[in-house]
Amino acid sequence: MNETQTITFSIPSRLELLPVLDRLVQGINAEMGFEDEEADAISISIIEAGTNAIQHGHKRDASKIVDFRFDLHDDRLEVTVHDSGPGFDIDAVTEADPTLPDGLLRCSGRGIFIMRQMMDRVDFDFSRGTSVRLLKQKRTNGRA
Amino acid sequence: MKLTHRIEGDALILNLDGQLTGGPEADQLVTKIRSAVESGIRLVILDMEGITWVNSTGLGKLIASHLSLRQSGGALRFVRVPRRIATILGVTRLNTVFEIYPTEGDARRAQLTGPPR
Repeated sequence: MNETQTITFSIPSRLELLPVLDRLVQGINAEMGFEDEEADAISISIIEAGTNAIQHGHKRDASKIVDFRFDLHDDRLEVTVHDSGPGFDIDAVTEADPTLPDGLLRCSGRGIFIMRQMMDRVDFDFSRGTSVRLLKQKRTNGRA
Repeated sequence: MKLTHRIEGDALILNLDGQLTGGPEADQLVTKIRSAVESGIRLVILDMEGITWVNSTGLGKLIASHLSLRQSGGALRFVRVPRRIATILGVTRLNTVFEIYPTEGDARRAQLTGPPR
């Protein structure tokens, strides 16, 4: 694979459709030759980004669409997940560490933490709705 | 997610198959566990072998179920946890909250002393 390939995918805001996203991501992981541990991290993180978009960005309003863009580079995968929600205070979310004793039994607030633990880079853009950009670098530059 | 269950003695054993997304299927799981607690069940064992993934919303439902059982003096125990689920539980440190056993037999034999927290 010598040039960037782009795949786009859109779903209505229904949590029950996330398994469809998962199957697509598994296919992309296989295409790029990610090892099992990296592939798990990517799948888990993209599902979290999709969950946040559906749950918080669109309040589970199925009439609203979540857009995914996958840029497959030789050495890395970049994923952008976009919803039309108003965004949130990223500093407040980042400060609340769910692994500390006070946060361990909270029933929400883990999505961004999980993404940041598992991906090489996670950025947010609130200029037009909410976009989260996830990056995973390949450990080895070769296909499976 | 497909949910099947059976009751053996004072234990409810739930087999989960599919994905725990936090959608209606997760509410069904929480309702099932709450009903069991109300009917006197103190030990709930989740066989997770068939679960392919859990997202953060699904984790929230599992925590709610754990708290519900703990308040009644019972316990929620996971068995046959797949690699991908174990990864999420490790990253979030929820593997220090939930009781995780290799097999259903191990989960049943453990005393109901309550989870570490």
